[in-house]
Amino acid sequence: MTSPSDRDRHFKHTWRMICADLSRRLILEDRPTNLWYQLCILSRPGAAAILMFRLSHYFHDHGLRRLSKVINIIMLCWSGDEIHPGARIGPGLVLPDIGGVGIPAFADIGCDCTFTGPALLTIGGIEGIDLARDRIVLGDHCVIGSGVRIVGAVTLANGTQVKPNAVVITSFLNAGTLLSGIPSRRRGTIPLEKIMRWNPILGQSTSQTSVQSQN
Amino acid sequence: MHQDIRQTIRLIREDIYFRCEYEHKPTGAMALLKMLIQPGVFCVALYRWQVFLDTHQLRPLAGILKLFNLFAFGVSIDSRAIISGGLVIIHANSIYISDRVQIGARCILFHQNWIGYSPFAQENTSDPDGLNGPIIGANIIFGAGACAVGPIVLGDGCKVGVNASVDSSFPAGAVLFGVPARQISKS
Repeated sequence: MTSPSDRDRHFKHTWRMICADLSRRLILEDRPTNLWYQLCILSRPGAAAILMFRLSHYFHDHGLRRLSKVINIIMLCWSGDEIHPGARIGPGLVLPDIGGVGIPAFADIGCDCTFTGPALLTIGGIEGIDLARDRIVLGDHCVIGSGVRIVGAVTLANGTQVKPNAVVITSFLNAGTLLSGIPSRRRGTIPLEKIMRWNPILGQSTSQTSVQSQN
Repeated sequence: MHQDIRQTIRLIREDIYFRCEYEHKPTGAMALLKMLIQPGVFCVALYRWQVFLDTHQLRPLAGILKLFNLFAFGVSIDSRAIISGGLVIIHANSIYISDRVQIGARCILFHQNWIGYSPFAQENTSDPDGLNGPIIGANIIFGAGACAVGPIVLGDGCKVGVNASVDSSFPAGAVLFGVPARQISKS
């Protein structure tokens, strides 16, 4: 979980986050993680979207709201992903291939999360929600399937996996939960070590998929 | 799957022919060419050429075609997916088909379909072949937003409902609906 502090406001921090995102994608695709490959991976709209989100988040933090909005709109046109510049997202976010991910300003997303397709996080039109206080919190190593809707002030623990087309409206606080259905229910639990070794892009278990274990 | 230029053209012809049949349009040679203007037809044709380039040691070119497909239509079909003739994409928008997927003849896709091997950690990873993608029979209709995930087998003539999420195998002719999908009737 990221928190705004003086250290986080430095551009060096943004640069590190960008490197972590791109290198995690390269690790997952089983490629070398040097600078040239990181540049090449920017041809994918998902990777470019994350780069643009990090830049717009930096400008948003420094009060350049107009500039961050412009970058946000370029991101929307380029990849179809709509990530609000105010969202707090940890390092290692991966958006493979197709876009359509909608992340609002009131979302806290942990490190090493994967959104495999169009997904939407929202707190819209629900009674008793205070937008200043309530947030959508996703832990580390979450995998969100295609077409998932997360509605309301929901907290998902580390390693939660949400199967495609599920609608999540309640919090799940146990690590490694497998969710499915409308409204979604727990369909199983997988040990966290197994989830941390899981490679969502290649669909197989590998030795290292985390950016944290790199450093 | 090795295919030469003539096979590629034959497959594209089958795709467009089935689309014309589905939409009750004329199927003359000129009418088939005109159909290429439609984005759903054009992106399938691009995919066929992608497979052709991929099997002729031109992987970078195939990657460029795939990227163009993704930018122009939001359709991402891996060149190693094995798809028989007669693939129809009605609305080319947010469609993902991974590799290790087999799709039979005359499959109809609407928009926001996600067909691929499972991105979720499995409970029993003892079976390494269990990591395959879906094997999908002939004459299948996927509704808008339908997903097929993981090592499953769908029989011929299945109908997958709107926003259904299929994660287990079903026999031929099943009509599937819901998240996770259940069989609601037989056609």
